[in-house]
Amino acid sequence: MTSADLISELQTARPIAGHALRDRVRSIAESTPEPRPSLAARLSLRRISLVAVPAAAALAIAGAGAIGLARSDGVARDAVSNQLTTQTEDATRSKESTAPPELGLAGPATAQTVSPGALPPSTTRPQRYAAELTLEVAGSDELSRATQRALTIMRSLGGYVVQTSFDTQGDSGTSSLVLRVPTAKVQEAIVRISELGTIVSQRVSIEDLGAQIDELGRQEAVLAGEIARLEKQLARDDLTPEERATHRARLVGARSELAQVRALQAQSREEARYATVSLALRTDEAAAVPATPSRIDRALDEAASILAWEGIAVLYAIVIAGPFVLLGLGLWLTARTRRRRDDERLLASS
Amino acid sequence: MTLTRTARQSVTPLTFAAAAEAHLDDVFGYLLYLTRDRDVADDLAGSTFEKALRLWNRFDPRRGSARTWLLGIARSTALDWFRAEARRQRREQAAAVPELHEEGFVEGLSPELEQALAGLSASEREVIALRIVLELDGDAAARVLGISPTAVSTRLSRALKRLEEKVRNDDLG
Repeated sequence: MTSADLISELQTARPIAGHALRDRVRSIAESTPEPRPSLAARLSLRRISLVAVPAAAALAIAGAGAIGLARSDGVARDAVSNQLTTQTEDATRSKESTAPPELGLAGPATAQTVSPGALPPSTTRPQRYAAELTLEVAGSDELSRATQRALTIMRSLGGYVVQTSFDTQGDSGTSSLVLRVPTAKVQEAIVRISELGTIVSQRVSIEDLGAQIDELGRQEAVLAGEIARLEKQLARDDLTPEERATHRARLVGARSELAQVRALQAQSREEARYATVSLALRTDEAAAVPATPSRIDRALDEAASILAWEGIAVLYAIVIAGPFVLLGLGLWLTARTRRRRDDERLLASS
Repeated sequence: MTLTRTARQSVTPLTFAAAAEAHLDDVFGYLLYLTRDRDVADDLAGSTFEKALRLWNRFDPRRGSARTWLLGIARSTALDWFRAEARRQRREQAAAVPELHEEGFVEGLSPELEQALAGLSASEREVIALRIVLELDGDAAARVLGISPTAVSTRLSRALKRLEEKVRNDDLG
């Protein structure tokens, strides 16, 4: 008998369950309500993994995104707050720089910061007029041309250069000019200079010098009167040598003080006659400063940071729990292998 | 037999009653080859279906057919019986070979083949039952036995070779 014959005979004589067993099984099936498939059966481990893993990843990403977005708002507020603080500090420094000049001459000084051309200098009162202008030009060639043009404009308006510096590297560079221009023509100067490039920042500071000059005038009058009185007394013949010496000393001091007051008056008038224009020119490349990241960028950065921390946490959990999981898996596999070997041995001996 | 079809699923959900009716002979035949005793096979088949009904809510058709699942439960039930039998024999200090009905356990087989089958181990008979008699494919048989399909092929090859030898020896004798 060949293997094929054996197989054929085995398949032909396929056992059939008896009626008693069939009835018993039917009664089993009919006696108890058929249980519905459990959730565990419907959701296999693979299916749960297919849903749970992407869901967990999506949750992690969404959480990181939400936190990142929330934090970016806080960062933005901080940035704005810092910016405002800086601006306030700038304004404070600006006011300090435009404070009434030396000698402690009292008098209300009014400092204002306005856009060029928005507030022209007064035609009736003396003022200290200072303008700061930052312009951006295309390249080093344009920087050179704009610098030359600014000087030409100044000279054509009757002004002069106080300080200048010019620095280029390749196609980038900066140029700094401190110019003095007749106050009466400062508006025109600013307008014409502004056309040399793109305005990056601009500031005009106006300080009233009228009170200061008036005070100096009063001091001058007082000193002049004092000098006249001293000269009159010195002209008398009845003075003792000591009194004459004292009056002479006072006269010398008064004349010296008067000369100082008059110099200050002249200086103040000169300041009022000429406005200071500080011009900074720079190329695009030189002006390139790190851009403040947008809220989306900040949110993405924050989200990436949080995701990195989540990854670290998961890695940490794997490192901590991994050995225990592997040990448990190993024990389970060993027990299963041993049970199967025992079963095989049992069946092989039966 | 109840066949229902839901609109949501394109496959036909199988009821326990239908599965039991369809695969009763397979379960019985497998247990018969394993135990070589019709009465024991009857009892074990009944126990198998009782257990299967309790576990039916865990049955997942995606992981295998009802037939394979029922045969797996049948094997587990049979192993319990073999263990109990081994303990009983040890208590009675009986011989290692259990006292089973060795003749006529499968109707329709020639005496030579039946005797040769009786000379095989339960492990060899079960692989013949699964692969030859019930005509399970290698993967399904491997799932029932808890071994790889390659191991099933090897085990079947050896079992058939031994069966052939035993039949030949019986013919010569």
